[in-house]
Amino acid sequence: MLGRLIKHELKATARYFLPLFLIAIVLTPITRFTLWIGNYPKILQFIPTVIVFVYVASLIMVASASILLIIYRFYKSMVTDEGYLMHTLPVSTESHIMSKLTVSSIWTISSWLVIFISLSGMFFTSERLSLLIDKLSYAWFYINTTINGSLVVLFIIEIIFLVILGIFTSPLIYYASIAIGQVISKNKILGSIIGYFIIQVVSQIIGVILMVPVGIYGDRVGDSADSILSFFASFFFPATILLAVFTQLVLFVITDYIFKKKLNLE
Amino acid sequence: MNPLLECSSLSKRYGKVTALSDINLTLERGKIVGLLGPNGSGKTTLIKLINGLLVPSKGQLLINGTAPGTETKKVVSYLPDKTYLNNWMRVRNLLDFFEDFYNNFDKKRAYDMLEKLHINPNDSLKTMSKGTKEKVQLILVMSRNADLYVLDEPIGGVDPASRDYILDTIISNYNENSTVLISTHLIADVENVLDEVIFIQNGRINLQSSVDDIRTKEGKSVDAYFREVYKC
Repeated sequence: MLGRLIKHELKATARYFLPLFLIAIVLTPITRFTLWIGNYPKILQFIPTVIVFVYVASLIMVASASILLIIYRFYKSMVTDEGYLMHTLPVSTESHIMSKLTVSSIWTISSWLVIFISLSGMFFTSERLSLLIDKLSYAWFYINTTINGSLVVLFIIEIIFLVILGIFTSPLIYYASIAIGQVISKNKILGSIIGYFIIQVVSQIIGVILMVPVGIYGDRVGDSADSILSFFASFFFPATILLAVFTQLVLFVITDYIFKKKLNLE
Repeated sequence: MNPLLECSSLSKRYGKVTALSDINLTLERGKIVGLLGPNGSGKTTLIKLINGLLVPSKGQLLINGTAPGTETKKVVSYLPDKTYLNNWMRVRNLLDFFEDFYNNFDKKRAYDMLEKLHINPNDSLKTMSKGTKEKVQLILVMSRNADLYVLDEPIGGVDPASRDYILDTIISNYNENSTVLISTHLIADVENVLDEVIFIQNGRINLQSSVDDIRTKEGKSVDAYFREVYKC
């Protein structure tokens, strides 16, 4: 059933994302070509300006669409009239949340890819690429000779891990906000906003409390690059990853519990 | 065998307002039951509780001996009192959707009914009138081989000619193991198909009786009897 939910959710969201992606991709060569032409007569100078403006706007849309649509889709299908259909399907609440989460991460990653492809298409030349490779290999050489290389690898892996986890965190925050919203208020939108602030305040308080031991431990860290790096790679980042996983579990359980035990589609 | 639907001391409050209070109700298999009551009497609340869209404040509700959940949703086919379908979908997509999620969905039956009511499966819902959308929803719901059909105001927005066809469909589609629960205040229209009626008022059940009993004991139609009981 999870697979079918994902399929349906993909269909329901693709009609927003695909045209948007297409616009950004198509605008890339057009913009590049417009800029390549160069010298426009004065009267036609508005052309490159407008095209660059539209191109940048399309990238901003791609970047912001995923989170906006993630919120919109969850709200619409779980607590409005569409919820009558979704909540009477013979499907568990966990599957509903997991399907929405899977599809939202697919779109988040694809919008990053689209932006990356488009920017590369915009600025790619072979000289720039070899310059970039030069700089990177120099940086890598420099890092390797001054600090512990395996720590750097661990550091990078942990950052990648955190980014991947981050893809799930923000949707889960919004899902839990919407779930809390329909319990605390008759006005579901207002309730969701209040729910969002509650989650933010609680996580800030917990964050501050957790910063204390980190600060105390951090004070003892030496000044050398190696010890700072090892503080991050072997203590701070692993702790952050654990905390992120824990936070996601809590958000998931809150959402699941509310939709299972407190659902009130009035 | 457990009764199809069993409510014991079922209550539902919205904040301070009591929508249902201490309902005890059992529905047998193989009946067409009218859930009748004035506006705000608790009909829709009871129906939403059956479908797990609301959680009881007190008491319990069992379908085939199980509380509303994934298992009961497989055997309950529900027509809500509002349009829940995605406007951007075509009728054809909706049939696929229902087939995907409900094992007991009979696609052929759905296509037959669409044809009878002159609805083009390739039409998108956006272009349809409110009444046609209601027909589509009813077709989807009645094309499932469910144990319990719960229809909330199924004919309210539909023209009288289609009403007859829809009621015929309801009668001919259910079998001896399934029960149809119809909430409505268009009593005269549905009276002839009902086996049993439940009168509900102010969140309480006033009467559960067979239609024949009302006719013989009271000597009047259900419609006339309803008007008498709920006289303002």
